[in-house]
Amino acid sequence: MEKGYSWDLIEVLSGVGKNLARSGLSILPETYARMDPKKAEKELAKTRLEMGLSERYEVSSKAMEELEVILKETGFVEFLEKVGERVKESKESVENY
Amino acid sequence: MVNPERLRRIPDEGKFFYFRGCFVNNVYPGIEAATRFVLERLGVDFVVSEDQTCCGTPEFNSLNTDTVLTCLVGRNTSIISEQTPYVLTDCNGCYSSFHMAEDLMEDPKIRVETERILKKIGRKFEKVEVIHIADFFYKKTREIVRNITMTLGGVKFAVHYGCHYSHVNGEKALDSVENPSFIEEMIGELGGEPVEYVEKVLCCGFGGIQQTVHKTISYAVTEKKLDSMVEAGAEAIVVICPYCLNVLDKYQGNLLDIEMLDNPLPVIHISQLLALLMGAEPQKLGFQMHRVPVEEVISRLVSKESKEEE
Repeated sequence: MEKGYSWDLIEVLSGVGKNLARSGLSILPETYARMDPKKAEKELAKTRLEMGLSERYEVSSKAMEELEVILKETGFVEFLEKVGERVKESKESVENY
Repeated sequence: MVNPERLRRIPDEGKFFYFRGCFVNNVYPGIEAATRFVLERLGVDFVVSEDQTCCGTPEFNSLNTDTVLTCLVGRNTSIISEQTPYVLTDCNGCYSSFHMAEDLMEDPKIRVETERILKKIGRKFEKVEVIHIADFFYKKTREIVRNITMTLGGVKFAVHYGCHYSHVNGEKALDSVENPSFIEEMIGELGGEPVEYVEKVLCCGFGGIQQTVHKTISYAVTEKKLDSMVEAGAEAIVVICPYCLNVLDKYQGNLLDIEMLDNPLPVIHISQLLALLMGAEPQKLGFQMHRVPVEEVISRLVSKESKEEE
């Protein structure tokens, strides 16, 4: 925000971090659906299976447990929460103007 | 020109860890299918693991998170080194994340903090050899040529290497930063015609986060790049990065939608191209997910036998 980016941009930029914290992956099928709705694969799981890949690319629970520690210790989770609060405050202040 | 010492460091055999990126898997899974197909055809021994996570590049680009990057990469190197010291990746973002993290670890403050956090999960930052799939395939050119069933039929290809391959990893990349040419060499060996174009080392336009925060500038860069390729007579583009593929393909797709582009250039990842020549079915390589149709390139491929008869 200090760089003058609007909150919708900040939501996009912090969105990859939220994805990471939630799934261990930064870019998810739904992320791309927002980026390019015209070409996002609606049946990605089916297409992956047809290609001989697993239905969905997933990260193991062991990896998620370790990732959780990393994101907590680096302060990344707290950082994302603060970004979320700032975006919310800005939105409210404009709506109340 | 290819650096012989860097080429020598790429092992001919052994076990490899195929590091799968989120963008490849969740947007262009055809690239993963293609990479697997080529590796299997070449008889390469490789493993994958669900214990790997994202490489950390998207957070690093968007949010300047140094220690998140070094911890994610450090954790991934720990997972990888349990199986092999050699990592293959088909994404410039993943490729550069390993190199950027190694550089960041030179900073004592970041190193100490990273080691502290990794120790909490019983891991440490291990030394691994990160090999871009394009470099690996170049080393295997002779074997690839032996294994193809189709040739490129003289199609004129412009090659885009990408900033996160060349500029970010200048000292570690296989070829020159200013004028890389090893993929052009491969294209020639495979029966295609590589074209030289003025803006070869220009960014695709993605620019880390520039396409999100500075759209107009980003699109102008993409346009300049594509214009330069068209001017040189290119009929298709070969990339080595899924993000670059996305940018060059989507930009043209948007123009096609509003009928503002007559001759779009299909964009193909090097893994998809090689898999195609080795006999993979096009529908299993994910071309249906590209905005610019690839059928024209596929229709011009020539069987290797008829090429040899000539």
